[in-house]
Amino acid sequence: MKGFRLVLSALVTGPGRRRPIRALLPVVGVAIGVAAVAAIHHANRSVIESFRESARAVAGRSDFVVVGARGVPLDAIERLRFLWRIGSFAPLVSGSAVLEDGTGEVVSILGTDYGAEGAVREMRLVAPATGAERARLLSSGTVLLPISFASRHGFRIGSRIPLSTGGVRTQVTVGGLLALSGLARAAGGDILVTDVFTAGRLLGKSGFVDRVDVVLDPGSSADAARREIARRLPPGLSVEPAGRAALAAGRMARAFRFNLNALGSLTLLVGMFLVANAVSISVLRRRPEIATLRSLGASRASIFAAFAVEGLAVGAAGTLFGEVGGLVLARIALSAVSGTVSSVYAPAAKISAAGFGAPVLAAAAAGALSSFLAVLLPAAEATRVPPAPAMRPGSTEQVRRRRLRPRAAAAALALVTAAVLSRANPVAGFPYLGFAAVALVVVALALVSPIAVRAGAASTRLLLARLFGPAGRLATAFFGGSLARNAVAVTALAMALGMTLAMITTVASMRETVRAWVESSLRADVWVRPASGRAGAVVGDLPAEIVPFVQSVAGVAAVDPIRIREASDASGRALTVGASDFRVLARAGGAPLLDGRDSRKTAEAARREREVLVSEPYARRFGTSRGDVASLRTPKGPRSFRIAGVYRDFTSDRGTVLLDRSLYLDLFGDTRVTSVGILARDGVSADDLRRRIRTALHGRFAVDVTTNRELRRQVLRIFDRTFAVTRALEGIAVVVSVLGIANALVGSAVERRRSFGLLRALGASRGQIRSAVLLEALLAGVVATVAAVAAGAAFAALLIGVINPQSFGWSFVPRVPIGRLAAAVSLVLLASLAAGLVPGRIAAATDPAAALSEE
Amino acid sequence: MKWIRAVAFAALLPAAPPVTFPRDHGAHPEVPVEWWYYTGHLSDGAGRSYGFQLTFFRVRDVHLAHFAWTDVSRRKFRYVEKTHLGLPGIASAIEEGLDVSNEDWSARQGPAGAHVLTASGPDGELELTLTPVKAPVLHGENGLSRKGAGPREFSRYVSITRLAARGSLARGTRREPLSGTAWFDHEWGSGVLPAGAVGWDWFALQLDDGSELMLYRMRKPDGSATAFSSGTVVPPRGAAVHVAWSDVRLAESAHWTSPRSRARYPAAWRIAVASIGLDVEIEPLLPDQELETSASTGVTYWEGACRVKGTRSGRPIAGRAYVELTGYAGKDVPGTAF
Repeated sequence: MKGFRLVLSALVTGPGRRRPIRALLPVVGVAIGVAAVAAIHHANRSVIESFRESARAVAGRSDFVVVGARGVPLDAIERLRFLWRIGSFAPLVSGSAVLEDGTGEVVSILGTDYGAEGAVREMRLVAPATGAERARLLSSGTVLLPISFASRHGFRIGSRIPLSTGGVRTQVTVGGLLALSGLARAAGGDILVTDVFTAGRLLGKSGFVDRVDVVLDPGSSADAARREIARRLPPGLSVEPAGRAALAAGRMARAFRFNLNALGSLTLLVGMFLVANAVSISVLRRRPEIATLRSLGASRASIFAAFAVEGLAVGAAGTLFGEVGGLVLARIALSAVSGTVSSVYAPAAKISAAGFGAPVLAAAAAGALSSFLAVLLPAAEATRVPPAPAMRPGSTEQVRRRRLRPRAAAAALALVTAAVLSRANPVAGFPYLGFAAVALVVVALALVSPIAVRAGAASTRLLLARLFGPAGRLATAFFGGSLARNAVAVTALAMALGMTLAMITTVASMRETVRAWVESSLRADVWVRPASGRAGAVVGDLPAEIVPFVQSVAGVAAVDPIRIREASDASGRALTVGASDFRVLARAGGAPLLDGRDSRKTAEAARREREVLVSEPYARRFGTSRGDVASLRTPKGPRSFRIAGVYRDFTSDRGTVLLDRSLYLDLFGDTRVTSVGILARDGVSADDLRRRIRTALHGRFAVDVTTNRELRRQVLRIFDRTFAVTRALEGIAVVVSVLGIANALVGSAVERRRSFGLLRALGASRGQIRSAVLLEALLAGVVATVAAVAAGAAFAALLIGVINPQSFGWSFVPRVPIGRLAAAVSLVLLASLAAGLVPGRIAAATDPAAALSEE
Repeated sequence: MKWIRAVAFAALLPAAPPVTFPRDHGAHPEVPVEWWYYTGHLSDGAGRSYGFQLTFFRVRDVHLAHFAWTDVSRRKFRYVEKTHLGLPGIASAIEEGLDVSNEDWSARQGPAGAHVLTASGPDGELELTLTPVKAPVLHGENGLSRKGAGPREFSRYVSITRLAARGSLARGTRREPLSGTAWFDHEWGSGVLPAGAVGWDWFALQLDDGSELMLYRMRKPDGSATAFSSGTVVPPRGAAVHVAWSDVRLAESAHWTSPRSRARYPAAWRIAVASIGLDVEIEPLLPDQELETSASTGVTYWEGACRVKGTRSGRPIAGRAYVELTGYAGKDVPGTAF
């Protein structure tokens, strides 16, 4: 034990005390990696948690929920009367509105049966306190709101809240304040609770509710009750376990989670390489000490343990700092993320800060595990240092050189396996094998980078020698000479840069495809949508009466009342149903069909034959194509339709079934409209028509009227906001890996003090040595870039061709944004040059006499 | 312009539509406030006596219900309340006749004009069939029960002052047969507590000679009756007679303070109605029959079973009563709420 302590102090704690900055560098590296992982998990978890919490708050204690294709008609509730003997039930109407108090915030509206709430959902009234005042809450048009929400907006009891909802501007009165618990936690507390009738009126849902929650008394048979409910329900209604909504809510954020997870694992990998880098540098640097210790009788195990302890200590310290940094980062990410999730998935969803424990543990585990794994190889390497002959560096390099051939073979095998896996189908709806292929590319990259380093050194030797003379020759010698160390740094940078390049390419391809899709599918000249406030997404819907108003405006050639709503197929799987006037589609065209047929003719034929169009995600999810059958639960019971075509769509990753409006009205009896597309007469400009429509609707409806051009811009803006986080994280990954290069070079500069001293003694100038180190850094950057371009191409191919289509059913036309890629690459090259500055200065500052005297 | 409304209203007064049954046992959604009120005295086979109150309120779209059970022998008083929106299968009242329900409590038209009640509480599930012994009585002059001078300060108020009750209280597997006498009130109107009033005292006396007396005192802040207090006497046979408040002497002879609401309620009365030679004392069967209905109407009130003892035209007379006392618990006054 005493011996081990000696070994530890000689190899780890001693050097650490003497050179604290150098010991700190890998800690910073791990900290950044862990911080990124922690931040991502915090953000990720908060998002999911907020969705779940919202779903839980709404579901309350309910055992079942009765839902219908078009809500639950009020008269169907009558059939549940028998339940009072064995439990209770509570109807709920839900929707959202825009606050017109100047904030433009989106607020959820929940219409409840106050009295039934106690049994089903918790709702705690803070004010008013007296019975008589409480009784006043029961009057129509009165809302309850969480106390935090009220104070944020300056609302108090009796305040009038201006809202626009369901295409109409209106006001409600604050009747009471709720504690932020139970139902009030739905939508992050941005919520107005009112009675079913008031909510129905506000949201244009009179005559039906969205769901009825059922709670059974303890001791009553859930199965029997469920069967009895199912038996009594009319066609079009079904009884389901209450948990399903929470599951669906979790699924909503999947696209978003994917985005973060991919980047999170990337940063973690880079972090691992940094730890490996740090430890292997310290092994290389301390070869003489190891040899000395070994000859003094230290065992291999104690050498291994010393470096393992060092790696783990670095990991632990880094993890600790990383956790703190992760919390800070998460806060920043959350505010960015809330914009993306809110706008795309649920207009009124909000990020909750709940559940910080698990992400902390996850990040700690990631930090500890990755530094442990990273330490294994270099520590094992250290044990192989023989006692005497290792007083000089270089011998391991020869060992490594011999191993390059099997490495190349293993890399080739990994790539071939990746190619095979990329052809595989998704497992349980998730592209696990696609991710495995990405991991294999990473492995291949790690295997191949020593070869790349050597090849880089060999191929640039002549060029650099001609350009920079002795400095150039020195640079290639340095670079190729420290193969192991440089290979690790190059791998980390190549991985980070490769992923970044792939992400840039993927996002650019998505954006371009979405842009093209928006252009071809948004054919109408002017759009009328419910007022959406700040969110920019669709909030609520519009009454049918708006359609004739719009039709009567001079200059309008055709009007397409579009309806989009949640629905499910015959077996209850959630999807989106859309309705559009196929006559207008037949005239103006719609979203492009995947098989390239004319969307106009297809729409016309589908209308005649009462067939449907389905979106690409639908086709992928249900494995259907043209000529197959799509099923829907309708208020008239389940219905099947022949699929007339598959169109490109990015609005719903659940998949959409698009019906002609007349067929939809016939089956769903729902006249409300989600948005109205308007075609202008020839010679009428979109701006002109928008002005006229605005004037015609002014004062009657609370709507946003936009021209096609504006709407396209809005869609792309939402797209960009969604990927804002991605960009921020790309930056982090690159910063981390450039730091890795700096770390590696500082290490080697210090280690090569003797060489520098010798070179200086032999007549090399300070400038030459500095240039050589700078060139070495640049060389590392160039080799990493070459590797990154190759790996990035593979990553991009997997992301665009496998992972995205398998995750969301979206296919993209690949697009290589040369400009942005070049910018990223030059940024990294500049950064790696900069990474050579400090080691360059250290190298140049070497005092020849002192360095030689060490000899 | 207020006087024009008052004149117009006065002109409208005699035109109050006639009340017909069974239609008018049904709901009147054209007015904001309506209630169906059942009270009664029951006894089981073992000679134990009980009082019950089952009330269905409707305030616009909101339906409330109270069920109170007074176990006189065991000196226990318990109540349950419910609040729901008027939604089918949850809480409703039809217009065509008596069919009002809240969850699984209900009052429905049975065979031969009977009222069938169901309600459940901690003491069990009550099922009662109430057979009217007398015809419905329309209180007030010209069929309007005036509550104040204002144009909206009136209601339509119908009572069946004596119904024969028969039924059971089921608890688990045990089923207690019950029989007794009940009283039914059905009132609908604006529900506005008239200006200057703080609450009301309501007395429903069922006397052993087969007659009944309803008295209604609208209280001013000083405790005295407003001009719109009145009553109705229903003789064993024949038509009901309106009782003017000037004919009534009402004195409180004891008080009880609620340990929960701190409200101080009168707890014994002496009532004399000169025109019918009645002079009786009224005493609660249990002092604590207070309802704090924070989960429904939000009103705290006392409504309880009482015994009646005294003389009529010099001869001893006894009976049963239900008394309702509102406006004693601070600001929690019914009527102001809506």
